Amino acid sequence: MQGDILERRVLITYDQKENAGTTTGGEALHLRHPKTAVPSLYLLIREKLQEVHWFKQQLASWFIGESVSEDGSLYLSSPVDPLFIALPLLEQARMKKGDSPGMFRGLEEMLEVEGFPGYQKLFDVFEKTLDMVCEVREAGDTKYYRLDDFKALAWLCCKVEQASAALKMKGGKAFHGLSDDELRTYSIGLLSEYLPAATWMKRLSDHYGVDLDAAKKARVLLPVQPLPCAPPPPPPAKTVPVAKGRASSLAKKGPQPGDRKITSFFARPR
Amino acid sequence: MEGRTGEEPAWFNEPCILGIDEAGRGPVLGPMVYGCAFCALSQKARIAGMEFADSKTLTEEKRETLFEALKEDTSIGWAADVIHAKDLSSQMLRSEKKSLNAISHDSAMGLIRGALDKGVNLVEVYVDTVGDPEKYEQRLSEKFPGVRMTVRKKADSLFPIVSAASIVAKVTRDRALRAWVFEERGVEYGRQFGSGYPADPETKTWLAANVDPVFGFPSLVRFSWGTCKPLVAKLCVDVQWENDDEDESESTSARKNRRYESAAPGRHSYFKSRQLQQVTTHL
Repeated sequence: MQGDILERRVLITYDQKENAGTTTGGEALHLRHPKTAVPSLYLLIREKLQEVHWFKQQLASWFIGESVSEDGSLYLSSPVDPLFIALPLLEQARMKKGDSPGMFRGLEEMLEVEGFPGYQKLFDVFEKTLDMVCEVREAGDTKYYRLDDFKALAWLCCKVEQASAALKMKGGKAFHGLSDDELRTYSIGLLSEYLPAATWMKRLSDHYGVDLDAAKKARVLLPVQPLPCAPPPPPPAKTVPVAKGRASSLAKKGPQPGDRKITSFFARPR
Repeated sequence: MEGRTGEEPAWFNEPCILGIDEAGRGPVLGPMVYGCAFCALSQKARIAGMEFADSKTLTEEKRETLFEALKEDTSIGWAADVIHAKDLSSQMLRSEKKSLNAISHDSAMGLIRGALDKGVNLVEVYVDTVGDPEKYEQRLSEKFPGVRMTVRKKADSLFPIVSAASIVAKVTRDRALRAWVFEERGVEYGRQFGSGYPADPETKTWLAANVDPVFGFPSLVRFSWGTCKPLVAKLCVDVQWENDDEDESESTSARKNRRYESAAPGRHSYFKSRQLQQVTTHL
């Protein structure tokens, strides 16, 4: 269109069904990708964090209204669990050394990442969800968080199970023929998109006993030994001094998304 | 198809004659119109006295007057088939191309079929030829056995009923062009398109001034005309097609890489297979 200085782009974003027919703005955030640490684009729309994908065919343009946009790119954003974004921050913040579980840190402090003011926009989002993977202590009005390996792994196991179930239900034809183990291996691979390879990806695949590299090289999905989806046994009580307090704080808050599954791990016979 | 509607008159049952002529076959824009006029054989002499002549030899005003008189005349029937430029373009340019002659023949046959369907007792049909008159006449005779077909060059100046048909066709086309409403929104088109004949300088100027680099001409224009091709080549953006330079020996993955600019080499196969690239930023 003549006189149009802004170049137009086509973006399809996720929104909740109940918001159908309404419009909203969103914020573009520059955050470090949790796996690669490469500065990447995220969107914050109605308190929901979304990652942005780019799809472009070589020969494509858009018809927009009565005119043509030469760039035929399709930007596609989809919700991403903010805990994935938080995990590297939490890992770094606890300054874990050897067997010590590390330090408790304030959220505000953790979100001050040089060159990435976008993290500070996630304060509210993180505050609602960090207790899923952290031990939390309150001092006055301030909450202090410390990444809890045990909770984090349990949370990741839930992700694996949920992804497998979702692929089975809605993944389409490509996933129909896969066994539960194959689906699980695939899901762990999918999660590798969001996890630092040396730390959390390794912990997760070790837990499941999956060698993703071997699976990739052989171009087949290796069958996994059916493992109960449970985190490793809790370490001796003395290293988790607040374990009791944590349980009671969970009970007080009522059910949180994913909580039910975590407790069910403990109920499952091993 | 336009034409008279309502109660069918009794003379339809008498032996009738029908003439067919066309208007707007040559121009690069606007519709091509096939017109027909018909009457009882007994009216042949009266029609001959009605000053119908080849429409091209009359003034526009005279043609309008004659058309109105023809419409008023209850002993003459008429019909017109308006084939819009868009239809001409799409039929002539589609992968299974239809020639302008074939389109013309189909239109003429449609008019004859229309009259017969209305119950007109046709015994003689006169047609201005398109292509070889003998072959065309033979085709029409096979299609409509029992009707005597006469296909001639310049039939509009030989047979008064064809002259009447030429008035129907010419006036219908002129009116369609005058009343043309551009369907392309958001663009202002001038109406100084001249006669519409490719050789008309005014038409040429208008065509060159009204071509969009992507969409080409407005749908008033017959894209299938030779006049359009060099203009599109010169004034429009190039179009690339995915299979233009298809190389049989090219591997599937190489072709895929060429067709997609987004690529996700380091990502999980879920994203890789969908060519979904992570959007990274540079601050």
